[in-house]
Amino acid sequence: MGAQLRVYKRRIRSVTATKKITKAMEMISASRIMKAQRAVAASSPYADELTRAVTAVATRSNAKHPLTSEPESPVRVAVLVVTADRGLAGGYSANALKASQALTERLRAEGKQVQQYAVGRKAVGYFAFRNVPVVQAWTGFSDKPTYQDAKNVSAALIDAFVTDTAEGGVDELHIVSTEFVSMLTQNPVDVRLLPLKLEETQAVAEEQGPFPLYDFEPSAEGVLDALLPRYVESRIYNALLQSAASEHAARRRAMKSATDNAGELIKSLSRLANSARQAEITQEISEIVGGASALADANAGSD
Amino acid sequence: MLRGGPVRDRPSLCSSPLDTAPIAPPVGGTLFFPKPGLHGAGIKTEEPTVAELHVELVAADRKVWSGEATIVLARTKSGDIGIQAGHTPVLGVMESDPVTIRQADGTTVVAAVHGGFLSFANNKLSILAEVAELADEIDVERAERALAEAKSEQEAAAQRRAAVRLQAATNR
Repeated sequence: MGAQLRVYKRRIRSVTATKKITKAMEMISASRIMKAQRAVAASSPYADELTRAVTAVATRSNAKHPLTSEPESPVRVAVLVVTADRGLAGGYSANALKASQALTERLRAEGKQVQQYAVGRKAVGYFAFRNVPVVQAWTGFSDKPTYQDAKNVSAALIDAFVTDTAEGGVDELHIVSTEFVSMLTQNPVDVRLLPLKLEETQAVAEEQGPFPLYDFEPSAEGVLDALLPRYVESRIYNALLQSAASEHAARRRAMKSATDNAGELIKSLSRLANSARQAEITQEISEIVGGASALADANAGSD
Repeated sequence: MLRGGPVRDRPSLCSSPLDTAPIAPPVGGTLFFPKPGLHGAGIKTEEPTVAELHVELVAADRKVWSGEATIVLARTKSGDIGIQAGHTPVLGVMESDPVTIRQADGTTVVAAVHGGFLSFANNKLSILAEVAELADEIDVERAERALAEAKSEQEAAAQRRAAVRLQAATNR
């Protein structure tokens, strides 16, 4: 076997191995999207009921709460960006980070200081490389977030929010995450989570008709006190779940195109290998024929 | 604080005006089916159907239980509450405690509920909790281990969680 052919064969073997890996990753991601979508669906009854309850309290009592009060001139804002822990997910993490960068610039233009929070190793690496200080980062659960993870994240963020601005607290909280639209479409979105906008939930209330007159146990303020942090947690949990589903979908798509590319590469490499083999055979035949005729000529000459 | 549902919406169980239905929540057994013997021997009274309410027990990451019930007993921040069909709309913050759901056929469902609240309106009761487990799902041994661990480490919250789990599991 000639050197040329051997090189082609080796490359085909290597690409075939890569293709097997990307194919496996594609299939794993495909099954995990299903699981992640189920997790989103399973968490929606809780989120819906919670939204209903928060709206009910907010419409029935005009209780003021620290989590809903708008500061007059926000000085410092927190931005939480949700990315993946691992790569090979196409533009998933990059898109979320780009959206967070745009948001940060917009907030800076409004004269606010930005404090960065991050979920996922990709975001941590991104900010470390750019020397952007990260106040707090959480890693290790981006592909399968649990409610406890959301609770940990929101505890830190609520803590920062209720701290006085003078003592290093923040006035607003923005979240950049990826919304799962479909298997093919995932959009990075940024939302302002805190202070809570109750008008948003009131719009939902109008669709469902008027609320009954609730008795509050222990009191409207007490209920609001207990509900609002849960509401924030559930919103963050939802953002994490949507991002996880998006991550798997992005990875599946990236791995599908990697598998397709590997297939293409194998096809063109085997064409090249075939023609190299043909060339080799042709050359051997012409060498044999040439050698034979040279021999015949030599014999004829000696006669 | 013990409360039953309002008497007005409950179907009348007894013919005698003096013999009013008990307001205290039942402790075991089917309290709402009066024994025929009490209301005249030999007269076969038709078993009254107890008004039911729809219950949804929802944890943050899943729906734990849903179905019809006659009464639900839970503990809120301001005391125990029993909810029957036709209760006035209520929204309450709950303590970490077992919740007892009694069904019309006499079976009870017990669940350990941590950090949640309940809302009742339009004959539908939603119990929302960060963590909720049915008594059958609770691993008693694990809960006991967790309780011992929490005790030795003096973690009040973890201790409470484990204790509630055990309580729910032993009440099933």
